Amino acid sequence: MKCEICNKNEASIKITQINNNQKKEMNLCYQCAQTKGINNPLAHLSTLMGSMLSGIIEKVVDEQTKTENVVCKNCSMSLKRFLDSGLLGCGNCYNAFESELKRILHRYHGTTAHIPEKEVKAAIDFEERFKEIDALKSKLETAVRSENFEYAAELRDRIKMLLNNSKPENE
Amino acid sequence: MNNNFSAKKPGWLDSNTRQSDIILSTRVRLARNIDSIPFPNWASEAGLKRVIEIIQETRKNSPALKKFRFISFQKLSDINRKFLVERHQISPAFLSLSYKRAMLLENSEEASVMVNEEDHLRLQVIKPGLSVMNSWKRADKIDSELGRYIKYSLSDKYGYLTACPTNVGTALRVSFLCHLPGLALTRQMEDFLKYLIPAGIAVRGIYGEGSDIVGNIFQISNQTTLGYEQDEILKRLKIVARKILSMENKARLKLQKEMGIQLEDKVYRALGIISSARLMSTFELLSLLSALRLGSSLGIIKPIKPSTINQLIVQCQPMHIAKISRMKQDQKEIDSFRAEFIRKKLKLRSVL
Repeated sequence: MKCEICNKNEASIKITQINNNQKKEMNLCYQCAQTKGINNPLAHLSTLMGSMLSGIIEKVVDEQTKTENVVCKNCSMSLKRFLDSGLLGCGNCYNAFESELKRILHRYHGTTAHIPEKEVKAAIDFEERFKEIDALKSKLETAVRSENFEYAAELRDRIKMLLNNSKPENE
Repeated sequence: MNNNFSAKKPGWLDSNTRQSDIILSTRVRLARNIDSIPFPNWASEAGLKRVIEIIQETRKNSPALKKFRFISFQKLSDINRKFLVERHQISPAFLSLSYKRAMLLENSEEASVMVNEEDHLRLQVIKPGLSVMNSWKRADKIDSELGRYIKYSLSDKYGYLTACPTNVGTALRVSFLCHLPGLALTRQMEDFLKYLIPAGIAVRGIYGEGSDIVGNIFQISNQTTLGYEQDEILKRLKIVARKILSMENKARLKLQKEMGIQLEDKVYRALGIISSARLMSTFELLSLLSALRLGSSLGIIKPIKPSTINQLIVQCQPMHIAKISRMKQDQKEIDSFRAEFIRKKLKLRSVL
């Protein structure tokens, strides 16, 4: 097997990193491993994958697309330059290089989506809404039993409204 | 007065709790970028200047940020720059960049902001011992204050946008500076890493990314920043801290039980060298202090306060010694001064 960085020498060192239950493996030759600091594995263990990131991704992407032509419209950073340096040019690069970035983010973080705080709050709202719906339902039952249909209709509409709002996207 | 720094004991290493013997300090770091200005690596000269102006304006307008000192990096001498790295106020990477940089620094050195490092703003709060929540609360407060004046680069999809995709999302990094001689000497570091790495935790040397491991001091931090809420990261790091403490304590007991006289020998040799050496390098000193600290915590030698050793770790670095000894630049002179300085600080009587 050829080394995954230089693609020339025979790979003799295998590196495994586990992150978020995702296993990453790399086969490297001795020279490339040394330049990445693998002769002192403990000292560089954590930064290893980060600094190799561009290396791995560049290879993958080069095979699939022409990276030089992909440019961020806002800051004119090219995808190629990003893959070489590992650094983006501006906030808009996240949109411009989205498909490649998704792969990188998935490899590094094990996910591609941020969990904003408001979403967490929405989850709490969700629970509260269910409690409210349950309360309204029991009120509705009583209203129907006592033949208070006008009030029952009002309650039914409110329940419907709450249910519609709280439906998860995939339903 | 702007460029005058004192080699005083750093407050963030001044703790004497039982835990501060293993977890020396806790650091919370937030990366932030200003909306509509390209990231520092790609920004124009004018863009970088604008970032610094925005920070200066913010500092002027915010009552809470007024007490921070504004420091233009270009005006700092080489010694002062390296001095700030030794005090963990700036990263080694900050030194080597070529473009316009600045920083905000609190007098107590608990909080600071690097301006135009990899991201426009790198805010850090550093506290002694194990202090995840308090450090976070302080950082969050400063972040909110900055956010009142600065429009951050933020997306619904990815959270806080950072120059490197490895920091995107919460852009939050919590790290512990740990002294782990037990795990290192019992060769359990590998087992320890097996526990930490699947939890998305990184282990680095004393100055963070790319730095070597000296004196059994490690920096342990969360590696992933995306797909978690802040609270989840904080909670995870608190669990990791407990695991560090319990594994290191267990390893130390094992060490004492299995190595017995060998361990005593190691500690007393360190004491012997520290008491008598006439030339002492930083590197040698850090490994000797590690043995001394271990001997003290296991009751082999007379106890030394954790804070005393913690302070020495910082004060015995080259630029600190240069400052304390009034700018002696010669290596031999510095090593000689250091040997004497450490004896004085530890109140050790020279054997000869």
